[in-house]
Amino acid sequence: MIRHIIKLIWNRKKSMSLLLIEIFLSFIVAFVVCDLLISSILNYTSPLGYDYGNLWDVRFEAARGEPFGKLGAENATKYRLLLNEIKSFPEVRRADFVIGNIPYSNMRFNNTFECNGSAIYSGVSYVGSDYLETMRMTLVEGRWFGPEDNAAVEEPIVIDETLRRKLFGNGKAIGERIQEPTEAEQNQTGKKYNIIGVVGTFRPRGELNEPEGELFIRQLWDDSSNIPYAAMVRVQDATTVSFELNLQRRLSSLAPDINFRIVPLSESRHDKLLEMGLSIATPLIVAAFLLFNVALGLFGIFWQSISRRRSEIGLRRAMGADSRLIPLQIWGETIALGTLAILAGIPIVVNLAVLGLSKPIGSGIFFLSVVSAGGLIYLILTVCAVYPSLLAARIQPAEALHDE
Amino acid sequence: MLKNYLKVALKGLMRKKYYTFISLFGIVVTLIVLTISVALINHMSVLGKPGSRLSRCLIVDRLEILIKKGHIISEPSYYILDRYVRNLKGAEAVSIFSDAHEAVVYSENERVPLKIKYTDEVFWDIAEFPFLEGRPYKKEALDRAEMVTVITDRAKQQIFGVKPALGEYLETSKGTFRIIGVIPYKEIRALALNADIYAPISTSSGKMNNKELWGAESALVQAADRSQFTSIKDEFQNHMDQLVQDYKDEKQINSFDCFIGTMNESLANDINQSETVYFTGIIGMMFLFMILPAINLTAINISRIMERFPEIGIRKAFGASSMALMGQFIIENIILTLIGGVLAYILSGIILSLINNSGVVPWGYIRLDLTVFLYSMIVTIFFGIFSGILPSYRMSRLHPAEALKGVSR
Amino acid sequence: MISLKRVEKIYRTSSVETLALRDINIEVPEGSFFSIMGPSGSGKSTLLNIMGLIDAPTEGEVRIGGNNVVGMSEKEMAHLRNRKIGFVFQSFHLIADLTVVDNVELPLIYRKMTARDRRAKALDALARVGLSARTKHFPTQLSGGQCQRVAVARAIVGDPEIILADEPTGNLDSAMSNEIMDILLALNKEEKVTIAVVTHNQGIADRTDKVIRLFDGSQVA
Repeated sequence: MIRHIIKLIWNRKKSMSLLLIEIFLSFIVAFVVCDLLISSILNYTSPLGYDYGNLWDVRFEAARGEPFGKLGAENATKYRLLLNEIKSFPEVRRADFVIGNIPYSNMRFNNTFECNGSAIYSGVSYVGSDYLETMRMTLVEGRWFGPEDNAAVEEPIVIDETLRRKLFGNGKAIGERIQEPTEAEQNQTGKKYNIIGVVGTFRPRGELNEPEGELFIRQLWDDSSNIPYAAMVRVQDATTVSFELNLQRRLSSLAPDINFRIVPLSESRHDKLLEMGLSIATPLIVAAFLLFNVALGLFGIFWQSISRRRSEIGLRRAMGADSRLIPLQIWGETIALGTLAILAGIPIVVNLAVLGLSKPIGSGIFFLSVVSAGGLIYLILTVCAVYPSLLAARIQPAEALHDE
Repeated sequence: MLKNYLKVALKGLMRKKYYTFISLFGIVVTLIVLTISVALINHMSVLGKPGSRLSRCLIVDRLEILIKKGHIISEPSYYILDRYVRNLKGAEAVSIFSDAHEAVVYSENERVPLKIKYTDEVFWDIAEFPFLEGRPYKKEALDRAEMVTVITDRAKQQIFGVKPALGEYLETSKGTFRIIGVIPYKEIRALALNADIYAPISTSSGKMNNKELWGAESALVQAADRSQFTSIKDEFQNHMDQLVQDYKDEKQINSFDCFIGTMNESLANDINQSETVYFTGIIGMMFLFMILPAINLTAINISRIMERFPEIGIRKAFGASSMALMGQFIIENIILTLIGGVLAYILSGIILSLINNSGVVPWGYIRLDLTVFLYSMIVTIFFGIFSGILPSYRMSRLHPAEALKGVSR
Repeated sequence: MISLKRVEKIYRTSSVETLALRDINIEVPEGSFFSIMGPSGSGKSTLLNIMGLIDAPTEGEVRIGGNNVVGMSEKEMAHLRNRKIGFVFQSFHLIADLTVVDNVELPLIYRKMTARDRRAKALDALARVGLSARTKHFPTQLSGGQCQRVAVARAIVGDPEIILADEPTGNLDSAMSNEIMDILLALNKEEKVTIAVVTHNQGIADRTDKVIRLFDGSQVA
């Protein structure tokens, strides 16, 4: 029977070429959708690496020196005063400065480092000793910065789980060295860092983005530190907006030359998720309409093909096919058609992966996307074939074979 | 003749309800997506209506600096725009304004985030927004750093409801401003100009104190007409060369590149492509997006034609010419797609107004205009012809005898 | 082999009742060759369809090889059609998308059989109708007579005990008609297959063992 159906489809391939192209394109659309959907779901459900609730982002918009400019004595005192002022609020549990990848902001801070002779591109955050607890990151291995690092010859550094996996696979990370790139022009060897700890994967760009790896460099916020971009402030539960207003006023009176932008992280998260969500939902909605449109068309075509094939179906009944076999055959034909189209689509899909437009071939997501895209196509075909094949089952051979 | 065609076509469509429905559905959805995409791209890439001052503007909104310590991509600062762009001799007018920043209004324990744009007084001359109430701020207000603001009717509604706003004070995280004017939100047609409240740029100490090259500002450079663009760009380039000379020692700049161009070029520049490549890319993607519904429609048409093979055979046997049959079929299709085009245009308008009113999308007010409608109509007609040609070709090749026998596959 | 007793067939639509067959009693012995004649609309095809189990009588008893088929399940009837009965139609009813040999294999598709056995039997049946040279052609590439020979091959491929032919020569010229009749007669003589033919053609009826004449749904001879 299967062989018979394949033969039938194969002989009809020319007249069904449009249908084949249509299903072939639909498969590619379905693949792109599945790839996007599956990776988004996986991203959304994996841990962020920090706790965004009850966390406020106090951004400093100030006249800055050159990038990575030093604080200097005067500024260092001023910023220390600001941090103390923040911490003096009864609502505040912990706070620390940060330069670099502030969660849910549009700012991205990356750099290239060298490790064991290979270059690695990673996010960088310059943070203080209290940052781990302010953000409620989890320490996976080793330790966070502490006073014992003051005397260290090489500067300490903490990396996140993703970066560790990229650099060392499952091997040991603690005690390994990471180096800033050497600038050939200046004949200057890059600074060397010593890995002292690993935190859980840190994803400052939020739930819907891929983890990219993050590296934390210690800052003491003294004269030689860089100028902080923001303070992250962890507050008590049930802190109200009046806190934000008070904080705004008190900080502004301390440092009138700085613009303070105070945002609860839950709000920046909302904006960021909305923005990312829209950029994911839009292609999904469009693709859903495309596929629905194709399904309507296929249904119409299958339906009409049944009325055109009445005599063939009647003949099959007369030849001894019982009425349950007919819908099975119609369904089998659509599945065979789908398989032909999917087989043609697979090289395209592989090419998409090779070009980096989808997840790489080796990854589980690619495989899962191909399988679910195929499944989706089979499902659409099956749904479209149900009613026409029931119609076919009802065809009476005596009537269908009646000669005009 | 044509009237007859029309009558027959409409009757045929009414008879085949399912077919008409799927065809219309496919056409309408495809056109809605296209129309909205074109409206969005317009919104991002076009500053003003044809003939307006905005349409004669170039924008300076991006700089790239390579210094010893790294690579900076940012918007320019007020400081350098004021020193190196405001004095362009070829320009009729130059306005400098900031990005939209957040200005929070705290009312009754609620946090209302508004977008504030700091501008100079020239901004109002170039933007030509109609004022519902009050007036824009003038040069004196900028000189004295007066805490005054122009707000949109949407922001007014959000904060004051039906109460009058003019002359009232608006307390925000950026300071307390006196409201001196109200403009209609719907008239802000470009993303680059979009905000809830506007204030003199001199009231932002951070912006005025920033003596860096990079900041969060853009400049609009208004030309007498678009043919002046080239000469203005050349002059701009000379000014930038001067800038590099001025800063070479102090900042250790290795290279400096500041963008000037139309909004289109700016968008293309964002993804490091030339304008043509960028727009070819967009058109290519739209074409890919359209090909599936078009094939779908064609396949349905063919299956519909095959069902009618016996009828066509009889018509042919009685002397109907292939051309007449083809014409009938294609006209039927074009009528269908035109109906779909009109429906899609109406629905797109409704969907856009839903998007605009939901406040979900922080883009500003997006609208459909006549150009968008014309684009959709061209697409629609392409659709109608494309999906009709292959089936009618099949039909014209049909032999009457074969059609009557019904053996054809 | 086939026996019909008091068979009656009424077509009912919501408003009209049409009596297609009335009180038909026929006894066809095994190995006989008989024909059914009568004017258009006299119920010949309906009668043949009832014999072939593709239509059910409203009243009466139908026996095929001793089994009463009235009240049989749909599946059992399909099985019986597949094993015992072969059909030949006026307009051939070949599947345009299948080659000649694939068309002949069709009844065997619905049996448990290996592809190799199916192919062998189909080629054998085609040899018997003299079409061994055309097995890979498609029906549209054949003449009417050749098409009907393919249809005959398809009817005999499953070694049926009965062949029912509904105006098998109706679309053919007289030379081709005779060719088809020769094949059917040979089958009847050599393989003892019971054959029923509906025809308009007196010449063809004359070559059969027995003629059943219908007029307006009733048996007149």
